[in-house]
Amino acid sequence: MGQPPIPAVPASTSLAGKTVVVTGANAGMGLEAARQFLALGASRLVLAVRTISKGTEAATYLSAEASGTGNPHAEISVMKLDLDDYASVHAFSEQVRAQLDTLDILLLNGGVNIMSYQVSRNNHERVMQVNYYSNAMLALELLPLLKATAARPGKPSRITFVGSMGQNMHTLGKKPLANEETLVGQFDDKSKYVGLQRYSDSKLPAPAFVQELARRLSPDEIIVNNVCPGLVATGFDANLPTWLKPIMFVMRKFKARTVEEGSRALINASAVFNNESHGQLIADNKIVE
Amino acid sequence: MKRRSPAPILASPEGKVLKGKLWTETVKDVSKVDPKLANFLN
Repeated sequence: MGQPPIPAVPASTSLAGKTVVVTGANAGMGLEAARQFLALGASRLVLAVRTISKGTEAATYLSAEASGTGNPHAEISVMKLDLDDYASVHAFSEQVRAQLDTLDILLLNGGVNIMSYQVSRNNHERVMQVNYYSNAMLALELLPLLKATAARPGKPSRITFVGSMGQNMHTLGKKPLANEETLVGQFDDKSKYVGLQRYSDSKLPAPAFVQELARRLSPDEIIVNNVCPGLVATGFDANLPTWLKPIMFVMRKFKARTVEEGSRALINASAVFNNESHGQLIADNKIVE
Repeated sequence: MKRRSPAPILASPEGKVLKGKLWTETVKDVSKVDPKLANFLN
């Protein structure tokens, strides 16, 4: 059974005059989402990347693509963001606030999947750090700019947190939280770490965070949602153990959406869905209730 | 067409507690680096 098709972005969709920040933007869905934002006329695009040289390569590619899609004057900039490190998130946020007058769309796409227990620069389990804690921090740090942008006449600003329906394979069911234990502590605890499920653990907080953040925001000001792009044919499996790579290769080859289609799900979530998606998860281009 | 719950654990009776804990712990953790973020605890 294949995944249902993601519909085209409505032809009337225009991001002219809009500023977009994409994390994890130098490859895979982040790069393709950036290309699609530019094709929709985004005037300014910030590529948030861990390695500046890779970001610069991506910017060169995107600039050519933007010219080809009638958006030759789009400003494309590259800024360093290492989601493994809160200090980098904070520095990135300060740079964004210093250099951007407005921020219309924040696409929290950056993430990893590794199946060995590693520790981040903030002494958290690395996948949790990169996929959740740092993305959450970034959303909170950029809220003032998103709000100030929404105060201008026009549409609300947007935060879209890329998630996964694979979140339901988390470990909390079989390893429930003890009374006095914290969730952060649980996920840092190496004795409770399960490599094959850590990605799911790291994606479960996204809908929870989005729901809690949405309670604190008016959708007339900022629409915050969560999107699952489905299984997509990217190079996301580079860090998986050797034995798993061929399995994922076959799955992505025969069952995955193309990068173009998977990224279109991100575009639809961040630029097409409106108030009805506030605080919600979107999967297969439908709100999951 | 509406689909299944996004995360059954979050929709469970314990889900509200879990979401609250996650929010509080996240904000406390990130505000160690940026103390202004502690405002989100309110």
